[in-house]
Order: sequence, then structure tokens, then C-alpha cells
Amino acid sequence: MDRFKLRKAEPKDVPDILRLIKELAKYEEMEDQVILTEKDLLEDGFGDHPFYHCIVAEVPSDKQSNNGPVVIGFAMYYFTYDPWIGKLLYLEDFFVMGEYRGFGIGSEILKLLSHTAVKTRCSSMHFIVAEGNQASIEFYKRRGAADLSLEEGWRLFKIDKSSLLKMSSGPEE
Amino acid sequence: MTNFKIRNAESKDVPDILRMIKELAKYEEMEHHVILTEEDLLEDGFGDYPLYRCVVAEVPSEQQSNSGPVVIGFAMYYFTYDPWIGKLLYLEDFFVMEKYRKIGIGSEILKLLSDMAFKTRCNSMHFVVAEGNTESIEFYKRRGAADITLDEGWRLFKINKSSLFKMSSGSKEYRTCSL
Repeated sequence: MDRFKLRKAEPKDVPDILRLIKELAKYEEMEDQVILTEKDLLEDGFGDHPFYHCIVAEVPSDKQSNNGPVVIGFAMYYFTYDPWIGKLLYLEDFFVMGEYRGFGIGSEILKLLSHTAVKTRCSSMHFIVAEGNQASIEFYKRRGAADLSLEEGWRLFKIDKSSLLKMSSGPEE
Repeated sequence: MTNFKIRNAESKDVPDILRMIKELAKYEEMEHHVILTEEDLLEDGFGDYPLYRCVVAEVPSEQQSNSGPVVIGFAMYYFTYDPWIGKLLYLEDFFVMEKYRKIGIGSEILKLLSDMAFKTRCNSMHFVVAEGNTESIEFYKRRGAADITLDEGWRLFKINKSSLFKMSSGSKEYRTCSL
């Protein structure tokens, strides 16, 4: 019987992490927006001060080949801070390849993330979901997730690089 | 004219930071939700691995008293990560006491944060705003902010501690599971 295993990502997983980031972006029809490289991911995730953490899911490779296990899913997370309650775990990306869904891998990843959150004294786990993504919304709601955009009216904003540049060296108001 | 100075927060600023966190929460009618203490803020922001960073705005105290400058505004931020573009600066809290508004302190704080974003190679700055807070929305939109909840349909979710605990019970660090 086939089995899967979850573990912390290591530097050798960076090519697979980037591959899965691109697969998820493709799934959202945004593959051309991925500008990160393996070098960025290596420096940013496995240097002295990691900006993200990853869990990967792997399965044994086919018996025909002599390759080691194959990475077929991942979750990327980091720690954020709420000025009312303190440390939070922020789930940034979460993806399992199409042919490996429906086996409980996603649930196990979430369970491990929850365990990590509790172990590291986080008060909550936050993440965003696209409003059209009903399957994911239901998946999270079944596990107790609350939609803060709906319930509390929070809207996510961004100020991109060109506007930041204008603000940082622009004229006085 | 009021002189003001914006600088990086130091551990001595923690009481003022907590005071202003509570003032901002009170402004949002949520003051009783603030459970963080000065001890938490000190450990979390000024230890070996800070979970947040702060800038504070200070003004000279009244000439009658012998106290030093008074902290009258702050911004709390940290670094997050976008798997498509990399490092981001996330603006978590941003507050200037009411009597010190409209003199450019908020703009200066944002300018400093923008400089920080560039210095640390961030590609964007993210933050949330309550949909009813039109004044703040307009303040940010004047500076080029885009509402990605509106434009791209992103909704913020949370799973709180008790639900996390329910999910985590029985979880081992490394699992081998059958398909």
C-alpha cells in the first residue's frame, strides 16, 4: 500500500517547492506572476533569519525507478503578530498535487500546522482565501475557520513597489 | 508649529506602545480585547528574534515639565513572504493620537516605512483596513494603495486557538500515513 510522509522542508526541497508554487499559481491562472527563483527561496527560507517555513508531503517513487521519495504537496507559513493577542501562525500557501488529493494529506498537513501553532504559543492561525474558491472555503470552515472579511469587514490592501518609491522619495505634502 | 521626530522603538518605549495599542483598540471600541502585557511586548519585540518592529513618533514635552519627549504615535510592522514575489513589509498597526493628527506625522511614518521596505528588499507593503474606515481608506488610496479584497476577491480567515487545538490533538511531529 502507498504511504505518504510529512516533514519539515530542507534546502534540497527548494526546486520542488518552486515547482509546486508554480503549479498552484497555474491552477489560479497566474503562473506568469511567479518571479521568485530557487536562489531567492534558498536565501529567504534557509538562511540565518528565515522569512518563511515549509512542510512538505512526500510519497515513495514508482518501483520501476531508483529515485527517492517524490514531493507532492507543501504548506508555506510564517509567524505574524497581532497587537491585541500576540503571536499568530500565518498560512501563506497550501497545495497538494491533483492526483494525490482525497487521501487526507491536506488534513494531515493542517493538523501538523495546528500542532506547530499550539506548540509555538500562537493564539490563532490566519490565511486568505479567494472568495470564489468554495471548495477551500468549505474545507476550512469544516475545521472551525471564520471569515473575518465577512464577519468583521477587514479588507486586505497593498501598496506596490512603484507607489512605495513615490512615497519614499516624493515631495513633501 | 509642533516639532516631531520619528525613530525606531526601543525597549523603554514598550509602556507607550501598549498605551497606544489600547487607545487604538478603544477607538475601534475593542479595548477589552487587548490581552497583551508590557512583558509580552518586551519579549516579543526586543528579544533575539523579534516578532514585530515598531517606529514611534515623539514630540518635545511641555516646557513647564522636566520630562523628556512624549511618544504620540507609532507603527508596528513585520516581514511576511509572498511565494510569487518574495519579501513583503506588513503594516500591522498605525496610530497617531488625535490632537497630533493633520500635521504630517502619518505621512512621515509611511515615508519611513517605505524607505525600510526598499532597504530590506521588500516588493510591496500589505495591511488590512476595516471596510467602514473610509478616512483611512482614502488616506491610503491617495498614496497608491489598492484594495485587493475588492479587486481580487481575497478574504481573510482565522482559525482560533480552540479549533487549532481540536485539529492538533493526536498529531505527531512526523507522520507516515496510508493512502
